[in-house]
Amino acid sequence: MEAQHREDLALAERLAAGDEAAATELFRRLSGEMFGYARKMVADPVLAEDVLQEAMLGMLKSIGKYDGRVSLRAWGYGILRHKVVDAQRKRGREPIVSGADPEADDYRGDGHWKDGVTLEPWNEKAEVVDVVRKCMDALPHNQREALFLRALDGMPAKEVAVVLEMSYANLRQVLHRARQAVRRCADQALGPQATEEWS
Amino acid sequence: MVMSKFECPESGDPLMPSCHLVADTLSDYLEEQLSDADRMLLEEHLRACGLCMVYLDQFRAVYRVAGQVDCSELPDDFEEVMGAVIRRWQADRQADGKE
Ligand SMILES: [Zn+2]
Repeated sequence: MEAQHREDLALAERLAAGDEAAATELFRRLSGEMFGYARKMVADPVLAEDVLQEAMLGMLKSIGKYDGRVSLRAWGYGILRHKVVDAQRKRGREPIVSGADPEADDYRGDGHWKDGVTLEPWNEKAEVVDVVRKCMDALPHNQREALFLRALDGMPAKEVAVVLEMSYANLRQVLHRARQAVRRCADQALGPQATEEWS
Repeated sequence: MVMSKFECPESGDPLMPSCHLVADTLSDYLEEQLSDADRMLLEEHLRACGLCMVYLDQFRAVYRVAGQVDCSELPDDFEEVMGAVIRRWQADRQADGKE
């Protein structure tokens, strides 16, 4: 058993016993990062904080159900993502989920790069971080959450697939679509044909 | 040979057809899901093909930024609110007779 895994089970046991220090430790480890997720998934920071509170309380209350099959962190994201969807539905917003779309590819059926795919290095000085973030915000719900979770430091792909309740093969598809879409979007701001409107 | 899909392209031709196979495989490359043989062929293509190399660099940049959490975005009352969640949990436990 990996050290992290043992640590997770020990922490869960303390939480099940009502240990307040364990709860503080759990929150210190996960709440900031999980707020980052909530913030990416719901634009409103107040709503993001509400949703996170619900999720953290949900984790504490259902800790008895944690079985250690995935990390505590992945388990927590599983709870959080459902809270996010619930909150959006309450506001009358159905999460937009995209499927496979051949139009999303950067090359044509004959294998040549599509017109407009310039493939020149991005301007180093440009605000890559800001631009990529804005482009991520425009992704469909399922692509955005997959890309965020997969890019999180130290979250193994197989765990991300469990959190998202999809097969690993399916996750790879979703990730590929997401990376293509963000790359293309960011290229419009950072590539050689970038317009002023971004800066 | 099956692996010929990654054959090294003629240098400088921006429309080399094999690039789309590379582009389609880059996610699996980043996910370390390619066989050793496929990975080596892909890397060989990347060395010869500046376009695919740029494409890969841009994928990597997207990836680097995508998982970043900006702590300066945390609300001012964040710690307080999280502390309140813990207190609520403890109160609920007491009400349920667990303490
Ligand atoms: Zn190429």
